[in-house]
Amino acid sequence: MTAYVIRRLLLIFPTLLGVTLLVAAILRLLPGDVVDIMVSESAGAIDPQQLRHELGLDRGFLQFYWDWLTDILRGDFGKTFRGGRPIVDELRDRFPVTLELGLFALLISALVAIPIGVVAAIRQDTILDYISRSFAIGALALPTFWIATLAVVFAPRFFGKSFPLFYTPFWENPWANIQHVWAPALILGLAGAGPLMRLTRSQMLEVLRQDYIRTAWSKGLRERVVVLRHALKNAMIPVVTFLGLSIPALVGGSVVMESIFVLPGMGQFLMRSLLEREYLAVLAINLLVAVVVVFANLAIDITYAYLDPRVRFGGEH
Amino acid sequence: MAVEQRALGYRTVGQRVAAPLGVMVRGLWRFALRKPLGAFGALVLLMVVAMAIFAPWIARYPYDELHLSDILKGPSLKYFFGTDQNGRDIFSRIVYGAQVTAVVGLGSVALSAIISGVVGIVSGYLGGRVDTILQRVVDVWMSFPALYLLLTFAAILGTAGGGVLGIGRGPDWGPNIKGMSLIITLGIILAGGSSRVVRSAVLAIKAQPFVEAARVTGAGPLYIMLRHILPNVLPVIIVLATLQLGVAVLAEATVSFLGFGIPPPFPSWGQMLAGRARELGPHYPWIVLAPGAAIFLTVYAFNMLGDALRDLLDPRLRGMR
Amino acid sequence: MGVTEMTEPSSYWQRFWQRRLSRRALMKGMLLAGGAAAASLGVACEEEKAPATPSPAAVRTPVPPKPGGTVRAPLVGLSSANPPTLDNYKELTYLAKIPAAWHYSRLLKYKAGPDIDLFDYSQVEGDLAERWEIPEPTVLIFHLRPNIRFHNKPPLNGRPLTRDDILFSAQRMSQESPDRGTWLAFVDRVEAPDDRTVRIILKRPYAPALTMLANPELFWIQPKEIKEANLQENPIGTGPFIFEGFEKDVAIRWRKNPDYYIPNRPFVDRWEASVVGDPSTIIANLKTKTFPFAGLAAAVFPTAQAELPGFTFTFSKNAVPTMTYFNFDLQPWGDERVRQAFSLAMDREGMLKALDPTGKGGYHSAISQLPPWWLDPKSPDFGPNARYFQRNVAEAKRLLEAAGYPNGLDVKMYYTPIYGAAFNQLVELVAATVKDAGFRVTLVPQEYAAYLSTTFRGNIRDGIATGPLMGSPVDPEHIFSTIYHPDSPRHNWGGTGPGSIAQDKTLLDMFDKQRTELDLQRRIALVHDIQRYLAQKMYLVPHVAPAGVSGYWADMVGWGEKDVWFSKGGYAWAAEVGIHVWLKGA
Repeated sequence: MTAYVIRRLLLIFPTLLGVTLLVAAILRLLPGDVVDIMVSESAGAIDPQQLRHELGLDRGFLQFYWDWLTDILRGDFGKTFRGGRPIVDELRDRFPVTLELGLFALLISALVAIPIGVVAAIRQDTILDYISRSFAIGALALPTFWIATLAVVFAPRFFGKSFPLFYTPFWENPWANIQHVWAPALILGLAGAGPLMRLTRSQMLEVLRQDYIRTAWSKGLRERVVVLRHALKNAMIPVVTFLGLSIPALVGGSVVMESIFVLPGMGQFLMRSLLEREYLAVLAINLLVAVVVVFANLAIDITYAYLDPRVRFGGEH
Repeated sequence: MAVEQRALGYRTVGQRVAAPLGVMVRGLWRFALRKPLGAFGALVLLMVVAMAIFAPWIARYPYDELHLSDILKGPSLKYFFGTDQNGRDIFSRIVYGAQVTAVVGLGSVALSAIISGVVGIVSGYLGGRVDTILQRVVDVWMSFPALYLLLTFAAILGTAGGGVLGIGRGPDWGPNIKGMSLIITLGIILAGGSSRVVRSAVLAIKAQPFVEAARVTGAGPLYIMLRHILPNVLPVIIVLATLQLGVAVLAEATVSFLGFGIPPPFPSWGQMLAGRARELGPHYPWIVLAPGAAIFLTVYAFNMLGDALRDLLDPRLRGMR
Repeated sequence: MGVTEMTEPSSYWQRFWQRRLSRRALMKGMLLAGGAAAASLGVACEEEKAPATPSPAAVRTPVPPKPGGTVRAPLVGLSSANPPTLDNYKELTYLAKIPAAWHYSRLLKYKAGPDIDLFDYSQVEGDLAERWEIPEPTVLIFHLRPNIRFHNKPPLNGRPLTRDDILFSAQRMSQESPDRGTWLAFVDRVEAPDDRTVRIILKRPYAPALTMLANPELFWIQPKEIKEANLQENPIGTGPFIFEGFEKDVAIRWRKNPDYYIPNRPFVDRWEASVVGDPSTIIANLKTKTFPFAGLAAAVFPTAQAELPGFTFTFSKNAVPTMTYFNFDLQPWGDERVRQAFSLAMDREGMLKALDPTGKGGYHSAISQLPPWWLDPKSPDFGPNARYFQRNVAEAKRLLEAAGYPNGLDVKMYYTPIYGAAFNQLVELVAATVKDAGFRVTLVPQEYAAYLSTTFRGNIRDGIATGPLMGSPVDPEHIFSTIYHPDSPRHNWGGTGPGSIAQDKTLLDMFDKQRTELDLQRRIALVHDIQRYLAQKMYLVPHVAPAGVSGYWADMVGWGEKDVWFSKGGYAWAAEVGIHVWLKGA
């Protein structure tokens, strides 16, 4: 097990290298760069050649990548081409916002979906099952951006005031922060609860159908509690996978939610940086996401091994 | 061995089931009775496909015909679902929009199922070096925020892109630009995550004794993957696929929101919800009710279908009521 | 696997929407707002209350202005977004210029008042300058007000303005600013013989000189130690408000400058400019009376009307030129008959019906609706070429046939969808209406940067393009030298062959003439002639102009001493109107 973990850790560096190299290559392939945008947007003359040289955009691709890599290793994430803002400042401001929203949403998803999924499985094909499933699917079938718009538009009618415009970080004022974040988190959470509930239900069903479970179940109430705990543990395996799959969204953020609810998050930042060809910003965000994903996947795989002994011994050799 | 497998409830490919028509029809009827929601789901799926195929006949007007004197009119006999901000008949646009839903939705999900199935099974079963490398590739793949992939494809592939499966010859026959690149992009995005779920299911199956038994008797890895692993992981793939159908439809809506979906004026349900509809919706509700309901019903139905299929495909549930 | 939010990229940018840092965002917002940029409130020629209970301010009896209070409003209506920098010389984007009006000053500013059109930039008055003379056509001498001081904030601590600051700013303008092309097109050099005199030497007689000197895209006066003291993002200037802070994605905050050179101005104590441009959010905040006013758009007018009973709406012209443009070397677009046919095939009335629920929109001419220069294609003054703006499908078909296309032709129309829902609707309408004459248009959306680096500059390989071409023009020369003239580095057309603008000597001469005509009325006549000429040539096909919409709560906010509403377009709204705003509830 330890050997496995160490091997995985060693592999992280080449993985990250691969990701960033690929991203950088694709970025350079995209038509147009920031200087093109600036020339087209201006009404007067900018010397594109000179500007490109100033911004370092006239370097060859490999030189560009190498410079970026060495800068990153020194902790220098670079500055935006337009405006010269240190990218690390943007990241520092935005990452917690997105993380908070993501975790909050995930929590809501889990809190809603897992109990409903379990109940639906235990009472399969009863009214309760149908209702739970219908609700879960209903939640995920509605476009989130639509619900969000309706929420913002109709908030004054229901609450007498609109959603806050000014974001307050949690440590500054928890209540103000919650007021700001609860609505998008709820919408995202409910939307995510659908698939999670279905997954939980189907996994619970799998486990519950096994003979030894059925035997224990029929023995009575006390047994049921034990069984439930055991069943739950096994059913959680794909659930953990699912949660892990939500990680990129946790870091990458949701552009729609962020813009509608005025949250200064990573999603908007990535979107803007892409559209405006801010190569360094995109690479920085990508690196961040990649790091989180890679570590999260590692954590999940370790959790699997813990939850399912068969995997631990039958899995990776 | 076949006996043991069946006793444990796993099935093998190759068990031909004789299916004279009468038996099949009765089977379908029983399915409808036992799983009414699933039947409903199947019905909706058929309707969507039918609408897609027969759109030019079902729709009452061309999808881009302007009726500038009837802008933003409510539902009526003339316009079943009312008209939009350009005076176009919403009912007709919904009908044509089914083409996008059907093609992009089914196409991307199918692609995702194939990719994630292959990757998940190979990675999960073979294990070792192959698994490690593949999983690192998946890591890389998944750390691309979907947004990034979508934008990049939109920018690079730009215009062009042909039709799909004959659809795309012209305005009446389907979205003629970008359908393909959207399908590929969405398929790839969806496949990343699902491959890991598939893989985890494969790991669980791999540990079953009958797989070990097959290996011991000299069956090669390809044979085992196809005949033993695949049929047993199929329910997972199918459930994933139907779950993703909803996501694909919603994703297409979001992409249209961005302006990177099927180009106008060809209607896609998601695109009909974006843009002006956002502003006008609260006050001219029919503009958003129809496409919203269409998306909702479709996603809902697909999920119900997936549920029912899964229950059916998993033989351990058969005979349980 | 379906992850919760795995694909929620969607930008509003379109909206999305929008999220913008650039001219694109402004264009979007401006298209929506009908060109009224900063806080965009429309001209006072028409006010219309939303139907419902009559507002108590229906009868306007002037109330003495009350000082005090905090104004919260969008920075620039629906185009509000984060400024990438507060240093106006660093960035092109309107977002870097608009905040300057609060804390910096110019030499001149535009006159604003109830009798002056929102977009009329031909009338200037002194900002830092109290008077000026023009001894020769190329020499402008400005005499600055006495005792101008920077804000009383460390490290400047209220020190007086000196000639070094003027010269320093002029140097930044001509050497560092991305807008220097516009400046250097007419300014030769800036001299400051003493702390209260500024001499500007022009390269040649230039009719729009004063208008351009007041252009908020250009010459703002910064303190000379801005770089050493790190004041770029913490600006200290001589303007009406003192910068307090900028919270990203939230708001910029200022407090009143007690030493401003206009006595008793500004009225309010604090100003919070929200950087949220989402229409639903803005309307919601209007509804809860968090905002006393805001710039809106024709597109959201019905919603706003329904949500805001008692709100006073104002309407204005639209000064954002949105046009269909071509690569003249790509046949048949070098043939003016085909371009004319395209214009004749467009159903402008129908488009207005769909795009403009206010019913107060009009037609763009070659220079959008910029007052006082605009010649209305619907007015009899326009002359015979006005017919090219009226729909005539038969004539269009005839022209196409004469040009060799009796069966119509297939056309690809490029655009970028990032300018917002209203623009996308416009594009769809154009494509749909020209179909009747035989133009079979296929719409081809392009990603923003790809569009800007190719299509936008006329590098269209196989079709035509449509888009907004300038964010905030202040003068016809501004438009001509940016969009039309072959010398512009980013003119919106391609091709140098026989059908191209580059070969049209008549037009280029007309451009030259109006540039040097110093008499305003004569110049207006010349610009009218250009519009008539361009109507026939249709080098760029203008579209329709949905009215600009904005509004305010009459019981919340007052306007100057007489409390008669007025506004100003352009980026410097804060310095031209904002200082006269006062809060009734304060």
